[in-house]
Amino acid sequence: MDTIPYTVEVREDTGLFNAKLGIWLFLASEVMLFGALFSSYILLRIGSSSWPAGSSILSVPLGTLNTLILISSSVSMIFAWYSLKLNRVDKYKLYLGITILLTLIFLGIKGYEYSMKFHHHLYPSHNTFLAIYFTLTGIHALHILGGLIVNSYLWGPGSRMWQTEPQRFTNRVEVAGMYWHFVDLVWLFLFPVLYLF
Amino acid sequence: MEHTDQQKEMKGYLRIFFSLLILTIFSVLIHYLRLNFFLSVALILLAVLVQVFLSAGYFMHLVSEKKIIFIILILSFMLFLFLFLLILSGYFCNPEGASHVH
Repeated sequence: MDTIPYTVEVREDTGLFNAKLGIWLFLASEVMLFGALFSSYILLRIGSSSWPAGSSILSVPLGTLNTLILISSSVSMIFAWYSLKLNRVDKYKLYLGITILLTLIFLGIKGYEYSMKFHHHLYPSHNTFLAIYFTLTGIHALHILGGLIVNSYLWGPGSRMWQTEPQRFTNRVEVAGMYWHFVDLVWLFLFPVLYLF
Repeated sequence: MEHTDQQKEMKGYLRIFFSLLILTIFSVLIHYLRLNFFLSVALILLAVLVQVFLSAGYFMHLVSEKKIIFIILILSFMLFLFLFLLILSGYFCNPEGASHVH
């Protein structure tokens, strides 16, 4: 059976291993997706005769807390990858475990925010602000959920690859980390746009 | 020597982490100061752009990445910008007599 080439060694023409090129191509498509959503937000806002201040509907302290949690998860993710580079798989498990825990806390807070909105009968159909708020944060939360699934796999059953192909496994974690940092980066835009402006 | 390099790299990541935290708190403080709307938007956007530079540059290693990655990212960003401006132009290029419905 043929194996997939360039999972560890670098291709001469691109100067990258395949997964890294793949994740950047995927992230470029994500730039287009979130770019389209942010464009929608801007066009809806400038086309609207009135627009509520985000802080009058949303909780700025909860949004700030979630931002700090995501930034912390980003740094624990990079520490997880860096631990593998140092052959410290025990530290890797610890840092990735922290990342997963922080992700769960983020989703818990987001869920609480959503439930409070629904409790006050504030649904996407209420006004354009809430429609775009639920769309943007909902799609972002789905990305967080995707990252949570991948990170949990790499923390659990996926980590067996470390025993047989350590470099390939390190590359996998690096690629998962790039995705995670991107999702964090999107939130860095979402937070001020929805909560502060 | 290698151990010192590792410590240096870890400290570098921690410095980025604290910078991101401080910039987030700065943005929230600007919001609570209730400055002029455009001034606060400009200051918060500036803080966000610095955060994006730090996160993409160092956590995603863009500062030391290969040329092909930049080509991919610049192409996708240009395409996004072109499509955005195309739609935005609709607000300024109305046919004579047409108006937006609010």
